[in-house]
Amino acid sequence: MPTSDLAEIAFDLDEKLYSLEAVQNAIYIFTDRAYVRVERSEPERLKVVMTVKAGAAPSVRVELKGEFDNELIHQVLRQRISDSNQKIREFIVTKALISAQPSSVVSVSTPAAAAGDAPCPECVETGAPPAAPPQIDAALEKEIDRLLAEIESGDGAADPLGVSVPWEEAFGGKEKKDEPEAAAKAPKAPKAKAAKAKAPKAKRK
Amino acid sequence: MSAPAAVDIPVLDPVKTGPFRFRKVSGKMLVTNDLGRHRLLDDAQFRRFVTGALEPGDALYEKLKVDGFIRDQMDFDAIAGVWAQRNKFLWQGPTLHVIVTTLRCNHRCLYCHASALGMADAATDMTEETARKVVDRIFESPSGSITIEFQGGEPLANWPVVKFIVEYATEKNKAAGKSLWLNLVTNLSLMDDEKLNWLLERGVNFCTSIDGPAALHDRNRPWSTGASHAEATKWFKKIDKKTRAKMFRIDALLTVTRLSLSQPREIVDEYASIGARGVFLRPLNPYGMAVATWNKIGYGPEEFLAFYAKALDRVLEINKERGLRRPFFEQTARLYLAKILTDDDPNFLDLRSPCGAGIGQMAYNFDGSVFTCDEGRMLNRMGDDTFLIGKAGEGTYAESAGHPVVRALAVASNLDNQIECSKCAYKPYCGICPVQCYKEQGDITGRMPTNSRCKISMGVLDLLFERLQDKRNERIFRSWLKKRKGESEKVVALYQRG
Repeated sequence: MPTSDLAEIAFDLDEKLYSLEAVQNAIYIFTDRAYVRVERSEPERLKVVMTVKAGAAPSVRVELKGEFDNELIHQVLRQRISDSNQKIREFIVTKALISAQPSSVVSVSTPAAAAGDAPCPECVETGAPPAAPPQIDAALEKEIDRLLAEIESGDGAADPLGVSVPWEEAFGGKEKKDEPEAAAKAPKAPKAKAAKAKAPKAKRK
Repeated sequence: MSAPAAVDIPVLDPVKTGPFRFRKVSGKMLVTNDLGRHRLLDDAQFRRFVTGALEPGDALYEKLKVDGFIRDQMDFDAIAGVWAQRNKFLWQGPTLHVIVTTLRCNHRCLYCHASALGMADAATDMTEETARKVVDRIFESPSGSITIEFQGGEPLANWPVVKFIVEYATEKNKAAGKSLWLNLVTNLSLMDDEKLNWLLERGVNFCTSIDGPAALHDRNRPWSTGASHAEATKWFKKIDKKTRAKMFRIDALLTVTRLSLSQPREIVDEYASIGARGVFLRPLNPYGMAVATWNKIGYGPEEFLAFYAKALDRVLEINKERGLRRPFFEQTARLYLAKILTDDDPNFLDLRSPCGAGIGQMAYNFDGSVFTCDEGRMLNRMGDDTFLIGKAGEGTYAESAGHPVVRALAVASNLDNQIECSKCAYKPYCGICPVQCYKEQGDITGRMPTNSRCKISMGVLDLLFERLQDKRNERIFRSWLKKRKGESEKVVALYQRG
């Protein structure tokens, strides 16, 4: 049962139902209206304490707990979606990034429905079979591994997209207008015409 | 954040339900994915989608399948292609290059974000020597497209250097072969026919400020020796007439102050009456003079959103009066709608993940100092050099582009690294400004629940998705995004076929 006056609300949550990450994500969203902390009241139980900020409207004080309950439910679902689809999202981004590499290092791939090697948390929970792993040819798989390793281990100093390569070095200043992708050392655009960058919209002082 | 309706937790189908984010909008559940595809579902539809209860042949299933929401039907080649298309700015390098030719200005705008100086202070005029170094540095960018944007102060106060940069950049581009755009941001008060003809002959674009009807504009933008509104609208109409059917043109935008909040309809009507293609409603930012005047002209996000809703509805009314052949847009909405309704990204540097600081734009102060962006340069005027990444003529382009500050801003503004943004339904359409986070909240990552820019972005996007539920509004919104001849309007299907 929650204990509350209008300024402070405290309640326990079962960690088997609500993961710490989901609770923390929900708490974060309420930091505009309340000071919030979470502590472990006993094994597998989390205690949330919310202190309403001064000046908050009375309606905020009354509705805070109910809103938090609903947000928590949404955060649990968001967490499940994220866990279940993380590898698919990584695969899509990696594939998109690799498609911009020079063609000599990219092989043609025909991936089918993809997931990761390990069964997703939902699969474990529901007993459902995981989706088929992506069918990637060896060269592409090697590139994905290389790129992921670079992203995970690097300090950001590497420049795989060539953003810091000066124009003269990349193109020698001799390329024809709108054909920068023709140069050997050019940072490749994802599609042939994509290197024609749109003029950014005007800024103002 | 608005209160969501009570729901229990649907059990996610790990095979049928692909990656998506969601948010309650107008009593329905908005679902979006990384490709920006979206659909509004009622509670029953949402539950059926999440739990995998939708079956092939069901109309909703087929729609969600086309948009890449059905996991066991996803076409990874098509999805990766659209992802690359929507994020093509990652491969381009800095395209926008802001040059401050002088800090002098003859206006004393209440909100001047640039902290401009008086006209007598010629010490902040860029020299020709510095200008040459700046242009040389700009052309080192690996981007095949370069936009040089003249800012200030009032750039025309240093006309010789504006001329020099236009001529030198044009000459230099004969060898470089880039797509070169020149954009003059000016209050037009120093314009004359000679300058105008010279600029038009060289295809320079113009952007000016018109803050609304004369009384409002002249209160926001005092000019001691003239009538700012009268001069700006006179030249706007003249340039608009001379640039019709040309690749270059004039646009105008306004900064919304507290004085503007009571006049949404009048402001929109002012833009329609001068023949503008649309209106660009921009909130006040915490830079320069606006910090000192905030108590007089500032406001909260909720006040801006109330103003914005009324203004947008007036824009929609005008479109209904004119018909779809003469669209009249609101530019903030148009930028978001391009991301919502098409697979293209308009490359607006504040609405990217990561943002454009150092990797999409650079700003060059009058002395050749290089900053990550114009906002970083504005902070420099306030005594903070955090976003200084080099100097034209010293060091190299690579040192600036690879500067630790640039890398830090890219990490901070990557929405996948943001606690709330990473799971927000509006992630595919949004972006954060780490410089504004730093200024407002003390760190470049910011805290979205108390971030004013986030509140405004969420409010505007809520409004757009609400208005999009009316088919007539959707047709109007689509008319704002009309493609040029020859460009495909086809939306790529994201499911496996055959």
